[in-house]
Amino acid sequence: MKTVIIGGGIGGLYTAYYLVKYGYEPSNIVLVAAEWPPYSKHRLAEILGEKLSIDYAYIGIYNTLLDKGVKILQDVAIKLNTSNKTVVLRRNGEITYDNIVIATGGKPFIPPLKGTELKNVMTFYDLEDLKKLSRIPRTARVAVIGAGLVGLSAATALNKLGVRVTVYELMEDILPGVIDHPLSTKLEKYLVSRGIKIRTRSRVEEIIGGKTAREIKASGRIEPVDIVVFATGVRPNTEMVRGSGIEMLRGAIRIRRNGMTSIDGVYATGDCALSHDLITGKEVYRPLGFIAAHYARIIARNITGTRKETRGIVPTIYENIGGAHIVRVGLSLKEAESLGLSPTIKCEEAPSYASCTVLQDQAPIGYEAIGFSNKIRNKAWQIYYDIHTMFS
Amino acid sequence: MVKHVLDIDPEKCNACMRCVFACSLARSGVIDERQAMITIVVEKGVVVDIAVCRHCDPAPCVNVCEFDALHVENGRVILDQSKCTTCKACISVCPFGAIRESYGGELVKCDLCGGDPACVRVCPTGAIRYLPAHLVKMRRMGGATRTVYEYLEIIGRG
Ligand SMILES: Cc1cc2nc3c(=O)[nH]c(=O)nc-3n(C[C@H](O)[C@H](O)[C@H](O)COP(=O)(O)OP(=O)(O)OC[C@H]3O[C@@H](n4cnc5c(N)ncnc54)[C@H](O)[C@@H]3O)c2cc1C
Ligand code: SF4
Ligand code: SF4
Repeated sequence: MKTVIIGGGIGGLYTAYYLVKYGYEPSNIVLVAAEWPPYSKHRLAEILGEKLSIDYAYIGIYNTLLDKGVKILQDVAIKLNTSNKTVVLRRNGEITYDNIVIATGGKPFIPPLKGTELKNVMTFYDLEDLKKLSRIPRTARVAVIGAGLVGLSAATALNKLGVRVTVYELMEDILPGVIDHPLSTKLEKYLVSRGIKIRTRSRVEEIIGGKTAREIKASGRIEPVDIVVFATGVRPNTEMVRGSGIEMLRGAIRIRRNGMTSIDGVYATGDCALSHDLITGKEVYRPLGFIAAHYARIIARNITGTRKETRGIVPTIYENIGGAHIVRVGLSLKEAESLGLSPTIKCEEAPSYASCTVLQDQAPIGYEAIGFSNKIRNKAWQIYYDIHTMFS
Repeated sequence: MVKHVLDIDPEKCNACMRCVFACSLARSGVIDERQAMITIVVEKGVVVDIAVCRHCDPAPCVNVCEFDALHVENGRVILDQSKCTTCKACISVCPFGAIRESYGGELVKCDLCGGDPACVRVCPTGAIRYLPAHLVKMRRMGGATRTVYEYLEIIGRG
């Protein structure tokens, strides 16, 4: 039995790791990776902000997998053919498989605006972006578009380097969907006090310049800029499965609770695929690293013969945003609403922290907090387990 | 050997920082707070907590880590740097604020120095002691109605 894994990011790497751990013969695993060695995007902002070597980004276990005999092909998969179980690679041609795991990740989404093709317009997504941003002069004026986790991590890292940063966010609040209004307001105040300019309710309309970006136009207002960083979300990267007959939903690969797609022997995990939400049971698109690894483990279990299905994901997020500790477990109010629930929110504030509990029919379904306090920590893990007790 | 863990009593702590420095020294050979696996949490001039790993059994962090980077070895919860991707899920559920980010997103947490914790050796007030786990009553947490153990019984492991 031969298992081919497409993608050497977190999803692909940990599928190989768990296969080996669960006893699969390493030499029967082929990992096709466009980028190698594998690294963690979760460390890009820290490396940028602390001017560290990119060596910090690499994930150590790839050496162990190589030593054990897992085959790595540094190549790009172009086309999947499920009827005769083959996949075409750019350099190595066609290879066969018994099981295939699609872990091709995502690609950064840039809204279709005038000027996004200009020089100095970029994303914050991979090692190349990190290298580019590490080289920008201190005097540069940077516009970060999008105040999600990625945008704010990039903004605070640049701020730490002494670069002038303005964050543009379309929504009313920063970290939309991650945390809710009372907390975003607190975080926004904190970031502004650290010297980051934040423009919420600000629709970026155009990047203006000749060859290079010079100005940014947002909600009618034009401001000078040297570098524009788009952090406007991720979309599934699924070109290689086009025409393969695999069921998709809104551009992402649909998977069953055992990680398998609509076609037997074809699995998918990570930013290219949907995942299951534990609380609502719904299929959701959540491009997060631990979710890629969750399904990697489930897939490896099933390939090695133990039937295993996931009950679904309870988000567990922590981020240090320029010194502000953000915790979120379960659903935020906005995410719960978008999943069709009718939740309520209860917030409390103390000098050292602020937190909100999201409730559905009196039962906690989420918790979010800003600060570093025992109170937050006790509550976060309790609600995490309460959710598990209630919903599984 | 009987499982030993740290017994923490913030009320005895006078924030002398010896444990923090000793920890960093033991781990990395230099005195650098950011490399220490222990934090003295001070609010309005009062020590409210000594944030360090309690080696919970079973442990929320081990339960939540999807990357197999946390495991239990002789009763000690150990973080394997080579598998950790810094997704920080463990930080969000650790009840004790015991997992910290060091340089470049590298995470650090207490490994009990292999059984002879440096912090305990230098603590002059007895705020950190190394005792058999069954004697340490830290399972019951401030404000919590259930213990870590009871919660983990409910969710089960991996
Ligand atoms: C700045 C930043 C910070 C983040 N921080 C966190 C965090 O703290 N916690 C968290 O949980 N998540 C975080 N995320 C999200 C997380 O990084 C992703 O969810 C995770 O990387 C997804 O893993 P993956 O394997 O699906 O995709 P990727 O890691 O993107 O890997 C996909 C790989 O497949 C390769 N590939 C694509 N197509 C092909 C092909 N046809 N043939 C061969 N190879 C191919 C790509 O080159 C890539 O290397 C962050 C993301 C970013 C951008
Ligand atoms: S949850 Fe925290 S305190 Fe408990 S074992 Fe894990 S790191 Fe230690
Ligand atoms: S940060 Fe590292 S140790 Fe913690 S849950 Fe993620 S991979 Fe595991």
